[in-house]
Amino acid sequence: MDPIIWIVLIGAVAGGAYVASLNAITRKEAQVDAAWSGIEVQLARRHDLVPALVTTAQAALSHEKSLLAELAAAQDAARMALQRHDKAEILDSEAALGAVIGRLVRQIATGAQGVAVQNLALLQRQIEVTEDQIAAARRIYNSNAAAYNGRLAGFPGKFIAEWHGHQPVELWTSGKSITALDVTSADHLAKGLDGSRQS
Amino acid sequence: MDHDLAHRSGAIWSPLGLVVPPASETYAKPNRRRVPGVFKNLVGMVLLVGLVLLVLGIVIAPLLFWGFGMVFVAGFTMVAISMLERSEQMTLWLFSELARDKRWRFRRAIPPEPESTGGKKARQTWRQVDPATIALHAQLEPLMRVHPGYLFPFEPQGYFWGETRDGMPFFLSLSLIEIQAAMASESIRQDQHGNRSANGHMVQMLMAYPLGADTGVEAFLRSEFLNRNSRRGYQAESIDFNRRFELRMIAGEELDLVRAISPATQTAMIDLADRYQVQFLLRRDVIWVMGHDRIMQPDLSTLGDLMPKILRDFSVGVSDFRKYLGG
Repeated sequence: MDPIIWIVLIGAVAGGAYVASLNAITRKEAQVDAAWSGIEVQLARRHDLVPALVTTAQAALSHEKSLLAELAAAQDAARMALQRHDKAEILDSEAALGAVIGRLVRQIATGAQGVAVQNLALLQRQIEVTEDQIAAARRIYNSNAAAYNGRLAGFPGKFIAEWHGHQPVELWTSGKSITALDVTSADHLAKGLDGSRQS
Repeated sequence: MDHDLAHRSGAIWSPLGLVVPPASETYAKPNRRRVPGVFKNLVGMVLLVGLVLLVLGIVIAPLLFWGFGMVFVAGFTMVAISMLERSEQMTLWLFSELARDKRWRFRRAIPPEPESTGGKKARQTWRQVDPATIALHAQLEPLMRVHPGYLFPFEPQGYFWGETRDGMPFFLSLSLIEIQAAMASESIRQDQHGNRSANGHMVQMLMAYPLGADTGVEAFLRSEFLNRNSRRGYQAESIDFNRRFELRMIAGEELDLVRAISPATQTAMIDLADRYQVQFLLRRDVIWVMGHDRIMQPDLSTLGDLMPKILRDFSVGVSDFRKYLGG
């Protein structure tokens, strides 16, 4: 076969591999971004639950002002971080917010009476679902990020990524994760409900 | 609701307007002869070789004779084994015992058979088919038929109506398929329950339950071929989810679909796909889930101990993400 045909064939194969690999990297990067957006949506949903939690807490724990102030501060910080789309800041602020919400829910469950407990039961379900969604969104993000990083580490992705400035993304490791809320267990809440009914 | 005609017949929930029997059917354990697994595997191998010869016969014509012969002999022997072992009666006995144990309503799926008149088989080719089977095929054909992502056709053998421990009503259809794994890999010979054998059974499960809220969406989620994203249909944000499911919307708004297929729904479906190779049909306020599990025990009568556990695990798994989809 003519050497020119060989050169053209090899060039076409190499060019095709280059384009396919670049497309795959770009697609996976977009999926990592989409997964991160999914996290932000769930975090915003968590923030939306805070006012209802505050109302419930005010009705149940009129004497507990410091925890409410702590919640307001944590929520402000988390909202600001979310607006700035700074991943590290979001992780830190959401971990802090989650811890405060968890403490507050426990306090309400042990100290609340009557209507407040019933409101809390509803709120509890919403919080649990939101926390499940955040945990799932985090898992999806990590899985997508691992697939993307894997593509960058392989051949020819490694070279193509370097040429086009694609960088590996950081996974959410346990040390930097948004901790799932340690909210009151359903059993505990049921006891609280029973207690309020008896009283 | 209109699409599924989901209703309560008396106190029992039933989808697609399927008629709930007034009482469970009961079947006695049949007397039967057991055929050694080695012999069944041998017949399976003859069948396989016969099929290979049929393919080769396209090029070497004389092999067609041997291919047809081997397939015919193997098929005839398989029917004879099934009659000796009374597999159908054993399956019905297992199902009725399961229903009795769980206090579910049960009836068998009437197998297709030629229309008969006055005790004589009619010459016409039409067949009597169970109305429930017709309804399922009409609504769930994309899940029940063989396609590249799912190689086992689903033909219902029994229908169940019941409630889970937490009071969730459901409709369930089961089918048992015998597996001969003499030439299969070690992973196929073992099941998730600690059994290991060259002969076993596949339990196919089709379950429907109400979500408690209208998602506003009708969509199919079918298994992808070898976990490869075909890029057909709707793409969710999870790469793993897209590899496992081809998601096609039948009706509804995309916004509702995005809301329904939330991150938690996606991860729950991924886990179920890895365990049971599930497929779904979401019909507004009812979800249909089809999946299978393997029991690598050669004797049908021993399945009675494992069936309740399999169904419990499956129903817990499929209802676990109900709160993310509906109520």
